[in-house]
Amino acid sequence: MITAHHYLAVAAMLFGIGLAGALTRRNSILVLMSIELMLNAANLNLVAFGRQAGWEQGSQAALWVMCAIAIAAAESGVGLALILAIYRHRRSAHLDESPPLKG
Amino acid sequence: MNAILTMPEMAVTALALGLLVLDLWTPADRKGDLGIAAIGGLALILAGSFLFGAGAPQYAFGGMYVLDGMALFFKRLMLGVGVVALAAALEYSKRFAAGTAEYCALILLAVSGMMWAASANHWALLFVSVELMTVTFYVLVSFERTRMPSLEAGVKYLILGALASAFLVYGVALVFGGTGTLGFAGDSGPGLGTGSVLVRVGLALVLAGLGFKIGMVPCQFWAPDVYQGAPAPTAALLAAGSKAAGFALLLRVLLEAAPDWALEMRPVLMLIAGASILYGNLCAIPQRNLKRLLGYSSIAHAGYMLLGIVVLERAGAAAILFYLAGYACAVLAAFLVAALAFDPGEPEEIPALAGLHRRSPYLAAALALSMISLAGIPPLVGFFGKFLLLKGVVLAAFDSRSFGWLAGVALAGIVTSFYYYFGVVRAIYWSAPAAERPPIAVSRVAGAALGACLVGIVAAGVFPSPLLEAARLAAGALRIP
Amino acid sequence: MQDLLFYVFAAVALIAGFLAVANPFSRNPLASALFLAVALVAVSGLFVLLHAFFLGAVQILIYAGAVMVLFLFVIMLLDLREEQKRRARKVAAGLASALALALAALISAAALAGGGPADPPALEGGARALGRALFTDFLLPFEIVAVLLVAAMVGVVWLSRKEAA
Repeated sequence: MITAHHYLAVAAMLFGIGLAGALTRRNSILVLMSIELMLNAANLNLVAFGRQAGWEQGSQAALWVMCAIAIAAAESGVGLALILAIYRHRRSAHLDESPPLKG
Repeated sequence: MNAILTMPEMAVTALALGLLVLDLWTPADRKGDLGIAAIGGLALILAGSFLFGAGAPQYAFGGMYVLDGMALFFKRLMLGVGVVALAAALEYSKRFAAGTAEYCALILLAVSGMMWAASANHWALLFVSVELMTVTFYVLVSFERTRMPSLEAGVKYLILGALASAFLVYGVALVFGGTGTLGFAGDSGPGLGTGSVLVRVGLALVLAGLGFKIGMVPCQFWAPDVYQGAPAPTAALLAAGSKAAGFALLLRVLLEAAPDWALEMRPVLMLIAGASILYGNLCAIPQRNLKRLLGYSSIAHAGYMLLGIVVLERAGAAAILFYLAGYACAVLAAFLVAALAFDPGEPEEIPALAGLHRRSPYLAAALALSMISLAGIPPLVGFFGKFLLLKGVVLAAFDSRSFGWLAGVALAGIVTSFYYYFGVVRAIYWSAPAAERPPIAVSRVAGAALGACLVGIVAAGVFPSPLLEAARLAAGALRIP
Repeated sequence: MQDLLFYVFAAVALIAGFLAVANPFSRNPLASALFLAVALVAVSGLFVLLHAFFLGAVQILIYAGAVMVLFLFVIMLLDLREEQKRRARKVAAGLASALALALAALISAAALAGGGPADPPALEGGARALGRALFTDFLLPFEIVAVLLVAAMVGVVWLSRKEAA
């Protein structure tokens, strides 16, 4: 029998994978993708809890998840525009080649 | 539905959208007038906010939105910060080829996000208002798209900010799982954090997410780089406004929604406060860039203000409100000078300030006063704020010895900070300039905004009682169970 | 049947998610993006198993559709290849992964400790009920998200426009 706990465990593992990626990868696009994974884990958590909490509160969780998806999309849009703008200046998308901001 | 309560936020949003629309029909040489209109409109909204009395808390949108004394105090503070930041933006945007109206509109949208955050009484409103503020700041930080440091600061802020929001969302998910509701449940139930492990871990993740906004120690890595790389008006708004919004939310969550959890976590909060003070002050010492120095010092100031939270009382909250207002005046003045005193593209090096008192006595005096206030020398406002915060900790130390070391760390931090703040003052007045440079013309708008900050620094320091009374009244509205 | 589907979707989500952030076979960002899309589709399957049908559709339309297309578009536009030549710094990567794993373990422990009914009531109502709630209870956050999208749009246009001069 699958319970909410199973979903929570999957969400925690997804969050961990995303966090590890965000901390280790140097390519800013891959870091953004890892963060998307973390946000998805959080959404999965909310939906699982929402199902557990029943209709009244569950719909609140579902609405939250919709807001979170919209915001994550906006965030990645701004992020990719920024990466494009940087790429115009310097032909690379890596985080660790920024001499003016070291130290 | 009391939608009328949200008038100030609605008005700021409408002003921003109207600005974007009007921009379409404004010829290029008249864009400055749009900025003036934005400043005027925001000042009008600030004046209008005094029509709301600080009575009993009023709710709107099904209890999601609360208007109480504290929300009102924060809104007035943020509107004032917004007016000064717009004045700085108007001056600074002469450097861009275009984009004055977009820059001003985004500043207004960020201010509206901060104002929503000040009234958040529900996790959903907290989340969307914080995100409105943060996503707008991603653009504001990287707005100088032809200057590489600005873009790099933007990417850094975006990645760490997105990471922080992931923590925030995950934390709220766990809190929701533990309580079964997305409301704060502050005024009815016994508050959060009574028992459930889910809620405790969730609140810790929320603390990490909000800690990013105020720049406290484990989440502070972005501050120096972003303050240095961002355009000066953005950095001013980040330091004065974003930090205020972060503290408004921390006060709501820690003192109103989850006081039991905050009490349980008090040792950790004390450790964070002490570490922020030490880290910020020690790292600021070797800095040569004015904006980077202010970035490190903002971490230290976040640590000082956390002293008001660890005592977990209304008096501590009042001290934070007072300190935030004083800090906003000082740091806005410093960033305004940073926007005016350097040539476009020139890094804001402190040695380049040499001879500033001959190029513009007004700017020199303003920067010096701001530094002295940030250092906490009487009779300026920074002194009185630090005194209030420290008083709370010292009084608490009589009850429990563990507060003693925190007071010691805070004092040591303050004394250390004298060194680098006076380094700036020395550079202005007592060092010889490498080359004679032309005097700086300060426009009327920027001069008036700077003057307002200086009046705030001096007046609230010499006559602290009106501001203090307002802060006490606002903190009195906190529903601490 | 549903139990089996859960295990399938969970396994796909986790494996594809792992391959998206740390692919031992290829360091091409394009492969990562495609694996991420697979993981997002699997998560939408989990949403459906949780009776959140509308969210499952939104997840596929917006995440796996719009957002991933944006990622792929930028990766192809920038023609990112250098990643293949680079080596991740082993020690830092190990430390970060250990930290992330510890956090995941802590969260799982917290999740497992907070009990709940094994057989929860079904989540009633589809798009109609959600829509009604969106424009009543959740009106304020919804409108703020709309303003946020405007701000993001203005920002993206500003940042990605070529300088006139």
